Amino acid sequence: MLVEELFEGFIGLDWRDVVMMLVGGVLIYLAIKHKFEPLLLLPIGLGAMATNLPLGGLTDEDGLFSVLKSAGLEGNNKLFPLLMFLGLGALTDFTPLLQRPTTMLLGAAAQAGIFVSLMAAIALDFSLRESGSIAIIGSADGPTTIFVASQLCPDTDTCPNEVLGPVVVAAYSYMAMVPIIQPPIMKLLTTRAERSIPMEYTDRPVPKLLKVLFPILVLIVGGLLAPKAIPLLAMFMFGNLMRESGVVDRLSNTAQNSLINIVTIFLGLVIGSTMTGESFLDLETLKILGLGLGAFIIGTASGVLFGKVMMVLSGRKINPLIGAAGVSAVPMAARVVQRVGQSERPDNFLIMHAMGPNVAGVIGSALAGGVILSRVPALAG
Amino acid sequence: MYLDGLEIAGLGTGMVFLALVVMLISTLSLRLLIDRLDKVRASSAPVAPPPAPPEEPPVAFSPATPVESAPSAPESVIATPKDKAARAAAIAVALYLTEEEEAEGRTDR
Repeated sequence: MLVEELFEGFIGLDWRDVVMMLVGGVLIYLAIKHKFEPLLLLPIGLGAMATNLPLGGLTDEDGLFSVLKSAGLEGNNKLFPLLMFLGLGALTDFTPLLQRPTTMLLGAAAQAGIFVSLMAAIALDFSLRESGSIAIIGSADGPTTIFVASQLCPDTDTCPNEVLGPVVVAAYSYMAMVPIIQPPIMKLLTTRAERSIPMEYTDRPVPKLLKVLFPILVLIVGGLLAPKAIPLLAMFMFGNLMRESGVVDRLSNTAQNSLINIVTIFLGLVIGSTMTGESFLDLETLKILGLGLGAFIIGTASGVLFGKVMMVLSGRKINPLIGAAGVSAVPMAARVVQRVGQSERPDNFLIMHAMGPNVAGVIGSALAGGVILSRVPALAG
Repeated sequence: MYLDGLEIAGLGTGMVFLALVVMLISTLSLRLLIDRLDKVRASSAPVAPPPAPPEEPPVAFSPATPVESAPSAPESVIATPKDKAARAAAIAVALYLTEEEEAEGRTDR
């Protein structure tokens, strides 16, 4: 009896708990050793480990993780991803996009991965709500993914498969692996001559008034066309307006640092707590991971192909590689474009040109999320 | 469900493109407007520094040199409304003092 009490933790341990603790360990390893999205993967990894330890009560009704989840990510409450978007808006500089606004279209083209993977998920027998949640992995944007997936599939009554945990883990893992996923696709779809197209960077001055008006413009236009995207757009653009207005530096600094850091800690732990053995270890999770990867690949491919169209229309003044940055994943995707472009032509600096489609991709993915949020529940019932 | 998926995919792609095209056009229009405003503002800004105040009071006119025939500064120098106002004020003061001198019979200069 005493022995049972002493070792009740071991006795309550299931093989699935052990596997999930190992998965958590792998995420922590990737975060520390390879710096793969460490800000998110570290708390997610530890959250997964702690949740799968038996008898801890972290996910009981009044447990720590349940309290955090209900505070920021349950039911209609999407506080955590929206606060993260506020911080990201304060961190984002739209100057490269405003210097060359035509690259905004590349941010739209790269969202094709979302909609193609939606069709693929339906073909693999996921429900419409689950398919929408899985497809949004292609946005390559963490807060958008969490915001959309948690609204479409808030519980197992709405979606039979637990998708939130796998979807978020897939999104952040693939975002971390952008330097591995994107280059082969970029090289496959372009010739050496196309990759070598030089793009000279001239630091065109952008009026401050335009920088201040742009977030307001995006909010109004985006909000009118995709109303369900308004929470995301409003938070992102408010953060950016604080940054660009130059009159609320204290608030802007708080959003960029303290606020986003605190929310990141809580959000990571909550996501980790959804990775329980019963819900994570099944074939559906593998399918979700595969579909998410497909969404990333198709998004990259469609961005590069649209980049080729712009290359032709501009008389070979645009390097098609910058289209790959339209998948969002700021600033990793832009860095990958720079690296691939420079490997063909060392004096070619594409990073500032790629930052335009990169930040446009954030707007595009929020809009795509808004469309999914408005149409999927309407059609799924 | 395939049809639903197709509807969402078509609508979604179209909506994202439409929104970004509208944003692009609006951004370009705003930029154009701001540039025009800047040009207008620049053209209405002073092209020369305002003239330094005269060392002697501008009232030393004699009847031999009537105010009307006083040599005026070239237009390029007196270009701003502020300068023109200063000049008009100086002329008004000079006229007033000349009339006062005449009324008092001080025509000995």
